Amino acid sequence: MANEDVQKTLEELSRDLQESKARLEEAQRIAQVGHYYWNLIENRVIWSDELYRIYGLSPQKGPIDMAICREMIHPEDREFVFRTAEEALHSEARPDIEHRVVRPDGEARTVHALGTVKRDASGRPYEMFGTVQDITDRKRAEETLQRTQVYLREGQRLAHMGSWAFNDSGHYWADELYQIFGLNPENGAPTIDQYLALIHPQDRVSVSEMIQIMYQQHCGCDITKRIVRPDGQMRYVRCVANPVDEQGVFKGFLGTAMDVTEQELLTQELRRERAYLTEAQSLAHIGSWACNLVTREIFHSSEENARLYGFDPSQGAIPFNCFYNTILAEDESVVRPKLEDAIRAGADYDVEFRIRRTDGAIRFLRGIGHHNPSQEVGEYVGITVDITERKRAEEEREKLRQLEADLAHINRVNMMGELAAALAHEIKQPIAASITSANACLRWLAHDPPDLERARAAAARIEQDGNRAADVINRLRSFYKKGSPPKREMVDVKEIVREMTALLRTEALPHSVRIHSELHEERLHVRADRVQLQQVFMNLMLNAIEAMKDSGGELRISSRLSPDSHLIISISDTGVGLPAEDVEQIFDAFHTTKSQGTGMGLAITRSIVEAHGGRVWATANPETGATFHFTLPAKGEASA
Amino acid sequence: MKPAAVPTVFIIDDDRGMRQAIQDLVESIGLHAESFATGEDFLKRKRTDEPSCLVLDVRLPQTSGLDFQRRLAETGIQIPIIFIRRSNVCQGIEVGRS
Repeated sequence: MANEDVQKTLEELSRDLQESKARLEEAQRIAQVGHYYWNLIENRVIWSDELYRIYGLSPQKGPIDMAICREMIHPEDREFVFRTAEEALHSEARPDIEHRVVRPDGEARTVHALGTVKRDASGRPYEMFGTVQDITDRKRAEETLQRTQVYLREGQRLAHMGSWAFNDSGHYWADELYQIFGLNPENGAPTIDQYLALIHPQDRVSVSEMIQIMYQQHCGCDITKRIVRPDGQMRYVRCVANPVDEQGVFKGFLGTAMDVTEQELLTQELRRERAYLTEAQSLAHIGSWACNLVTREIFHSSEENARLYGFDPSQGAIPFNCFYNTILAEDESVVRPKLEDAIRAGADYDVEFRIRRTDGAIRFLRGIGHHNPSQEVGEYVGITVDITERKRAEEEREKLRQLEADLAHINRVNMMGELAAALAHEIKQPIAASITSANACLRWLAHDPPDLERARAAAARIEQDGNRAADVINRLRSFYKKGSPPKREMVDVKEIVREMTALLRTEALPHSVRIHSELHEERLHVRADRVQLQQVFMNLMLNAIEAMKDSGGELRISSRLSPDSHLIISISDTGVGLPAEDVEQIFDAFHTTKSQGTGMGLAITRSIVEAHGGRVWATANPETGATFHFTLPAKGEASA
Repeated sequence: MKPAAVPTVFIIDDDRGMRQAIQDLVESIGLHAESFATGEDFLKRKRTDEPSCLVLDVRLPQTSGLDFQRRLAETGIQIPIIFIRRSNVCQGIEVGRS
């Protein structure tokens, strides 16, 4: 070959070599792979340009300083890297390690280093050659993925939820799914038949049918069913699935399964409690509701509440006006301002009113509303109570009370009739005394000179006797008065006994009846209606006088305290005594043994005493006559 | 000390106001008067002088005025009696006085 040709060939070869080297360097940059030669004889290292870049250095010509090279390896990895290299020199092993390097700017990079050791004929190593790849980005991606998977797994574990995929390429179950179903992950995801076997027998058919439909129609599902774990434990699992569609081609399903046992049991309990509440409301005729003042709607109305008003329970929110429309006009004009005032003030309210239901029935309702400041602005919650029966009972009671009051009045008028002669005497006496004193007064004045001192004394007596007559009349007037409602006040029993004794003394006198009172207890105050208590005493005392009217005798009034703090008053006579037969009968209305009696006296006495929380009874005296006893709570807190 | 010539009128009435009024009336016409709540009290009085006249309520507690008159007769006390009822005290006194 001519020199020119050789020269030409060499130039071509050199050019090819340069091109090859350039391509290699380009390839190394793209792949982030550098290479090195380590001359073991001379302990000299040569790096490719890319390796310099990986280490964060500028490419340089000639060998790199081994000390710098050693220094740049991460301190924690340094010993491991050089030990691996040392081992490779003394064995057939090829170094294949990952380690970190620290660039001059402080950034750590992870590299994958491979190497091979060259040996001479005697087996002595003279060179190590290898590649170093920057795998930092891949490592970070891997770490991120691992972290994400950990988070996902933890999230699924916390939520008792596992994801799954079912497609042509296989069947995937998340770890948590195995936990939920009580299966071992090592056995892999179950087949559809194995899966169906885990479903509760009562739910199995419906789940099986649903899976068929999902495959036929490529549709998803959202179903809660029961499963039975291999250990026999039953759990509720909610399964949500979506079909996977890639460019119009059905590829399978993606979904989640969630253990909802706790929620399901709570829901069941809630349903049960709600049913109990509904039942209780129905029994008690109490409805509950909640309303919003901003929207002016009743947004919650229990079944019983709707029934009380005659609303349709399925109606949804009820506007305020519908509620107002049910109230009777005359009540609405009272109730509406009350409610609106309370609502404006954010105050609670408690009102009673009548409504006309859609079926025409009139009902009395009580509405109690409680402003709920913790909730939405202007939210009220409350109850509706049907008080119709109570109201009607109250009306009946009021009628009865009126009737009783009328009868009691008649009784008093009758008693006054019986006492007319005695009362006339009682009033005439002070009047006669004052006329006598007036006469005397005139005479003292007619003396010469007039005896003014005596005349003044006579005039003073006229005043006293006038007041005495007025007192008698005043006492009688309250007795005659009709219709005043019973008034409870602290009443001095001793004073009443004194008054009645004074009033009845003139009635007792002609029949030779003496009245004695033996009221020993110092404090004889009870809470009672004064006129009614006077009436009780008068009835029983007149009764006693009546029993002794032919024989004369002694009327004795005594008192004592019972162990249960009741004041026991006893009025005894020495008269004809009690009827031999049913003694209790004497307290019945219209039962009388007197020719002129109405038979109301003792019945009214009993009614009054019982209304005061006491009782009345009669006993026969050992010798002669009878004793009537009645009790009154000494603390005076009777209910009626 | 009262003049011996003035006669004493005795009054028996259970009502204190009435008793005082009658006594005052008797005294206002210039007579001497003594009063008692019951007939028993009258009988138990110190007999310092003979009564000139007795004013007696028809209705007395325990016993009536008429019964008491019978009792006086039985004990031998002779005395003019003026019976009174509430409504005619003044007339009674007037009648008795004449």
